[in-house]
Amino acid sequence: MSENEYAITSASLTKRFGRLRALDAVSARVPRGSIYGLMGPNGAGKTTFVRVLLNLINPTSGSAQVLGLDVVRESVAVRRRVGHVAALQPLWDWMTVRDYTDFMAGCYPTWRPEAVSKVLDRIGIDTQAKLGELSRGQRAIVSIAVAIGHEPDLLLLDEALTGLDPIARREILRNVIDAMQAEGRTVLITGQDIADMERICDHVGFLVKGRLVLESTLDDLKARVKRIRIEHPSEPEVQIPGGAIQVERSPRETVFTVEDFSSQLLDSLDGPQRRVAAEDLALEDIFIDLAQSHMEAAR
Amino acid sequence: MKHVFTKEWRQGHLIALFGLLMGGLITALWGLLTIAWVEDWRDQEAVNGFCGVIYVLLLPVLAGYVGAGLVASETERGTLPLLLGLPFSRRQVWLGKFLAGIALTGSAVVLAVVPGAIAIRPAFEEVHFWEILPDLAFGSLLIFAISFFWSTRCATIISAFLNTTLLTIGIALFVLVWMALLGTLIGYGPLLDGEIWALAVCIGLVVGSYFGFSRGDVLLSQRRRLLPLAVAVATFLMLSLPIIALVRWDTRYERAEVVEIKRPELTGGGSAISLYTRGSPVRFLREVENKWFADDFPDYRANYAVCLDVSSGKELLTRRETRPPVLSPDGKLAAVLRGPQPLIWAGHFDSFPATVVEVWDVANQRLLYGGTPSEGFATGQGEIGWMGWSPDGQWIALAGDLRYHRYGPGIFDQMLLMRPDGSQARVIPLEDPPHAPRAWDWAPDGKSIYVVREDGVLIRRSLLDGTADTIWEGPAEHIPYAYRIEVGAAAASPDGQWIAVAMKVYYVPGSFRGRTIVASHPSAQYPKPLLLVYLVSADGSTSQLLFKEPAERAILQSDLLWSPRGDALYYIAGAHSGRPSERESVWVVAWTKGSDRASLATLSPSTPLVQTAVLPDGHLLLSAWQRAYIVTPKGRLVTTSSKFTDAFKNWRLVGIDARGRAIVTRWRQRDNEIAAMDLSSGEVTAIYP
Amino acid sequence: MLDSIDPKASTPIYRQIIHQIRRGVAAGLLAAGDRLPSVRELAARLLVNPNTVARVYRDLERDGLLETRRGQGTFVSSEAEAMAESERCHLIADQLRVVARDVRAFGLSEEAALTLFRDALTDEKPGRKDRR
Repeated sequence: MSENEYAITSASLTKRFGRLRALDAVSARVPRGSIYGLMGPNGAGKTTFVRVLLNLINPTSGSAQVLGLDVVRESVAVRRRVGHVAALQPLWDWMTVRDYTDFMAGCYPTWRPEAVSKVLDRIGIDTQAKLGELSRGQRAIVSIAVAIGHEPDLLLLDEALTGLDPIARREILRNVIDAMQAEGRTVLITGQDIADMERICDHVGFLVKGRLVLESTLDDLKARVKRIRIEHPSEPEVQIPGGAIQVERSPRETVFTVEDFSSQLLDSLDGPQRRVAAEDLALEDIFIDLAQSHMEAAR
Repeated sequence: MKHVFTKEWRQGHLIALFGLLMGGLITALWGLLTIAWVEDWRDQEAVNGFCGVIYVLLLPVLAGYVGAGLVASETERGTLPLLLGLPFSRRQVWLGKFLAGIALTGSAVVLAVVPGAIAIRPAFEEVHFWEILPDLAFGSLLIFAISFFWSTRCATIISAFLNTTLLTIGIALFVLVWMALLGTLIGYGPLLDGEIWALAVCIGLVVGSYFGFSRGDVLLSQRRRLLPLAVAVATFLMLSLPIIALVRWDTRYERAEVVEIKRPELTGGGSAISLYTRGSPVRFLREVENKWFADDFPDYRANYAVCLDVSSGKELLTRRETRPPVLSPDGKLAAVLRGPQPLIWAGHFDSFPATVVEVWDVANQRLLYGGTPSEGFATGQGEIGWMGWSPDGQWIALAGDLRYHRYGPGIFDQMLLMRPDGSQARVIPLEDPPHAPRAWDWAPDGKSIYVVREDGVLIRRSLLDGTADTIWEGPAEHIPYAYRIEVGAAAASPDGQWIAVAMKVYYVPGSFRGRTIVASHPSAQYPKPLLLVYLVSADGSTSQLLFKEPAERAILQSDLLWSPRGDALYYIAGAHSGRPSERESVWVVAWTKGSDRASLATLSPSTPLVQTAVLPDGHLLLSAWQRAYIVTPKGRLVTTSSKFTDAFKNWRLVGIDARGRAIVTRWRQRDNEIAAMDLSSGEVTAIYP
Repeated sequence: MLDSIDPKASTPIYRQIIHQIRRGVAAGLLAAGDRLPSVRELAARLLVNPNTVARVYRDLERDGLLETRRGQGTFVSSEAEAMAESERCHLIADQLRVVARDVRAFGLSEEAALTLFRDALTDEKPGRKDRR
C-alpha cells in the first residue's frame, strides 16, 4: 500500500457515539484516480466516514490516511488538498456568492478563479446574489464550484446530489467529470441515488450498519453478481447453487441471484428442456439484494 | 485565522449597531421620563438612577449575547462543518472566533455607551458609571467568556435561550417605553409604579417566549428584517418625543382645588403663612386615580406644603410631600424639610422622617441648597425634629428628636447650625452635663442662645464658638429651699436686654430652711408649688421676680410673649383646682414695663385650648372656642365688641401678621380657608384660597 | 448516436458505448477518418466515468476499429470500412443467437422459426405490426 496507489485508506476505523457504532472496523481502500461510490442505507455511517476523513470527527479507534497523510495528525494538510461538498449544507446566507468565493480563495493557495467562474457562468448564477436567496440547486452548484476551485486531489461528495432537481444534478455530475480530467484526481461520492452513481463510479463500497460489507470495482461486481433465470416447464423444482440469494420460486420458473457468477455455473445449471439465462443486474438491484442478505446475516 | 476573524466580524458587526440602538432606547426612555414625570430634582434623581442601572445591566447582556452567538448560532444553522472543513487547524478557527468575539463585544459595548455618555450624563453619574467602568468591562469580559464557553458545549440550548432572552428584554423595554408614552399621553404621572413594571416585563416575557419558541429560528435567519424594524422603532420613538413634550406641557402636575388646610403658621416675621394643603396630582385624573387606589388609599391626596404671602395670598413656594416651608425673618429665603425619598404614596405628611433640608430663594424660585446636614448629629438617626432661623436670618438651626429626660419630655440636647447655603455647619450643644436643657430662646442679635437648665440656671451659649456663660443662678436667691423646678419657658426681649423665665418651683416650707432637702424626705411629700416669672438682665447683673403665686396643678405652657416694643410681657398657663366639677381656667400673667410686679388675669373659657398673640399695641389677644379675649399689660380683661366676639365664633386665631391683622382660619379642616380679620371692625377678608 | 446511455439498463455502460460505436460503424454512420469526441468530452456528454470511456476507446483500438493519433485525438480507423461488413454480420449474429435460444426453449420447430423470420424480413414497414 504505497502512497501513490490509494487516495484513501482506512484500517479498522471505528467510531462510536455512546453505544451506537457508526463505523465498525471499516477498512476501505479508494484507489487513486478512481470515482468511488460509497453506498448504504440511511444511517449506515457514510457521512460519519467522510467527516472522519476531514477530521470533523475524531475516530474512536483505528486509523485512516488520505493521500498518504494521517487524517488526525496532519488534518490541516489533508483539508488543504481535499474538496468537500455535503448534502444540503447550510451556508453563510448573508454572504454574496462573490463574498463566498473570495473568502474561499483566501483560504487556499491553489485557488483558480477561472475554474470557478466557468462553473458559475455556465449555469448563470448572479455573483452579487446572497447565498440565502439562491435555490437549493444553485447553492449546490456554488458548493461544487468552490470545492473544485482549489484543484483538490480528492473530492468528497457526501450525498451531494440528494434533493436536487435534475438540472442541478446534471450540472454537478458534469463538473465532477470535468474535474477528473487531471491526472490522479480521485472522487469519493456517497449517496442514495445509485443509478446516477452507477454512471460515473468505477469502484463501489457498500456500507451497512457501519460495516463495509463489500468493496470492489464496478465491472467486477457486475460480472460477479448476476441474476440467473431458469425456466423449467417440465420440472417442478430445480436445484440451485448454495450461495444463491433472493431466490424466487414459481411453478415453472426459478430466479435467483448469485454472487460468484461464471460461465461454468451457467453451464452446470443448464439442462434439457430448460432455458437458463444470466441477466445483468443494475447496481441498484445488486445493492438491494446484497444489502438485504447481509442485514439478515447480521441478524 | 485572520481570515476567519474577518468573516466573523462581517457576520456579526450588526451587533455593534444593535448595541447602539439599545443605548439609544435607554436614552430615549430617560428623556421620556424626564419630560413627562419629573417634577423636581429628587424625581430626576430617581429617573437617573433607574436608567443608569438599566444601562449598567445592558453591557454584560450584550457581551453574553455576542459570546453565545458566535459558536452557538453557527451550530444552530449548521455552518460549522463548513468552517471546520477549511484548511485551518481547530485552534486557528477558535482563535479567530474568540478574537472576533472580543472585538465585537468591545465595539458593541463602546457604541452602546456612546448615546448615554452624550445625552444622559446625570444618569451615568448617579450610578457612578465611570468609576465602575473597569469593573463593568471586566464583568462583560467574564460574561462573554462564560457564554462563549457554554456555547461550545451546548449550542442549541444556549442559542435559543439567549436569543429568547434578548428578544424578551428588547420587547420588555419597548413595551415599557410605549407604556410610558401612553401614560404621558393620558397624563398618568406616577409611571414608576412597581406593578406597571411587572406588567410590562410579564408582557415582554410572554411575547418573547412565544416568538422564541415557535418562530425563533425564523427570526434568527431573517436578520435582514431585524435592522429595518429596529430603525423603524428608533425613528418612531425619536419622532414621538417632541409630540409628547408638546402634549404633556399642558398637563403637568396641576393641583385640584384646595381640599383641606392644615397647620397654618405664621412665618417670615409675620409676612407669610405656611400650611399643608391637599389636592390631587392632576385635575382631570382624579377618577382614574381613585379607580386605581380606591381600596388601598381612600384618602390619598398628594400633600402640598405651601407658603403664602399674607397680604396677597399668593403662593410664594409650593413643595410636594415636604414639611411646610419656614421663611427667614426677611422673607427672602425658605427652608424646607423633607424625607430622603420622593414618596409618591405618602399617606400622612408626618409619617416620613425628615432628613433632607432644602433652602430656596423664594423670589427666583431657585434651589440654593439641598442636602442632609443632619448627618452631623452625633446621636439619633439623623432625623430632624425642628428647624428654625436665627433672628438675624444668618443661620438655620436644626435639632434632632425630642429627648426624654428624667422628669418628662425635655428639649433637644444639641443643635446643628448652618448657613443658608449649607456651609459652616457646626453642632452647638444645648446640654450642660449633668444638667439637661429645659427651655431656650435666641438672643435677638443672633450671636448666641439662652438656655434654661433643669436646675433653673440660665446659660448663654455663643453660637460662634459654643462657649457657655452662666447668666443667672436660678431662683435660689428667692426660694432658697426650692428642691424641684419645672421650667416653663424662656424668652428674650426684643431689644435683647432682658430674658424672661417662667417656671414652677416646689419648696418645703418651715423648719427645714437653709438645708438641702432630699426628695425622699417625708416632708417632701407635701411640696408647695409656686409659679414664678423672673426677668433677668442679659449681662446677668440683676434679676427681678415679677410674679410669684402658689399654683397647685398649674399646667405650664411655652407661651411666654413679649410685646413687639418690649414694653409688655405675658405668660399663659393653665390651672386646675383639682375639683372635678370645676372647669379648668387659664391664667394670664401680665407685666408692663416699669412695674415691679406682674398682674394675673384669670379666664375660664369653655375649653382650655387657646391661641394667643400679642397685638401691635401691646395687648394680648386670646382666642378659644367661640370666644375671644383681650388682656391689657396691666392684667385687665377688656370687654370686646360683640361684632368681634361674633367673628371669633367661627374663626380660630393663627397669629398676628406684620400688618397687625389677625390671621384666622376656620375651626373645621374641610373646606377650610385662611382669612385676615381687622381687629377694630371684626371684618374678615379671605386670603386663601 | 453517442448522445445518451441508459443507466437503468442492466447492460453495463461500457458495453452500451461499445455497442453504439460498433453499430455506428456497421450502419455507416461512422466513416473511416471521422473524429470521435475526446474521452473527456464524451464522458461529459454522456455523464459517465471517463475511465469507462477511456477503456472503450482502448478496447476498440485494440480491436482495430479506432486509432489514436497523437496530439489530435481518436479517429475511426481506415480498416473500419473493411471491418464494417464483418461488424454487421456480428451484430445480426448476436441477435439471432438470442432468438435461437428462445426458439429452442419454446419448442418451436425450425421450419416455424424460419417462416417467422421470413415474415419479419418482409414486414419491415414500421407501424404495421408491433414487435413487442
